[in-house]
Amino acid sequence: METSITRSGNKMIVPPAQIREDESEVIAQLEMPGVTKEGLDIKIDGHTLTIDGKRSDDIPSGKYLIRERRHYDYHKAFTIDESIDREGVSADLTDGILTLRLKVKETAKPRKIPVK
Amino acid sequence: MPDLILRRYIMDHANLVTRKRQAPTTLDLWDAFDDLRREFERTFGDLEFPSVSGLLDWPAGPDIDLVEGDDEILVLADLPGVRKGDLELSIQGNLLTIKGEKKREEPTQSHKVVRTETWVGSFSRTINLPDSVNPEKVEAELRDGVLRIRIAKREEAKRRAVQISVK
Repeated sequence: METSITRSGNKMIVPPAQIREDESEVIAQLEMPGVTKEGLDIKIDGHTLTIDGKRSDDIPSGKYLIRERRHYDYHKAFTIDESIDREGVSADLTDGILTLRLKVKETAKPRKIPVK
Repeated sequence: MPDLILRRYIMDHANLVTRKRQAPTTLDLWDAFDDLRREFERTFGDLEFPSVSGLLDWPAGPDIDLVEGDDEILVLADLPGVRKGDLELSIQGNLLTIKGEKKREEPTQSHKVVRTETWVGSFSRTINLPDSVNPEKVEAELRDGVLRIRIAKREEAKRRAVQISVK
């Protein structure tokens, strides 16, 4: 049985993520194997942060004896609130893991109130 | 309206229907079932069940494709976050073993983990290659989180078109 798999259609993979935060930043790490920097598109529109990743690895043709991988592109959307600094977002892609760092606005950080 | 899972909310669009939670750390049993169901639908919704792994094996191992081409056998594995040094490949006869460890940068004391959908830990997977492989000719490459192993087929196993002249 020859199987030919194409990347057409609009099926997408929602990349699994780990999200952690502290007072000054939120770090989101998403697993997107097969995506290179060139295939990555990250946008912030209002309260929505969208991440689109196009896979650049080719889909081999032949007889699939095992098929578990999903050959679709990636799409993920997050809602971010006012406390996230829109200008302070950085992204890094290493070994198929996208790391997003979102800075929290200075004004949104907790403030210590000294007691006299 | 979306409710807040996170203190400052970064929120999943897929999770707009989650019920109000007291705090991200408290685990409501029904919420957990809901999450599990959603996770299943999301993961398996567009895919037939893999024939080689049991239901409960998921997701503590990499997803693999084994493709038989005309001249070679190709094994592809999604290994995001795995470094070359943490990967060990071996081939014995027609058994290929992919062993390794998937690590994650541990959050520091001040960081609070608000959501984890990914797995870390060691994994090992042995697959049966077709008998036509030549285990002497193997090439492996790890790039962008995808492992690609090419194993040549034995000469006599290669598909060849032979012209037969008719007299």
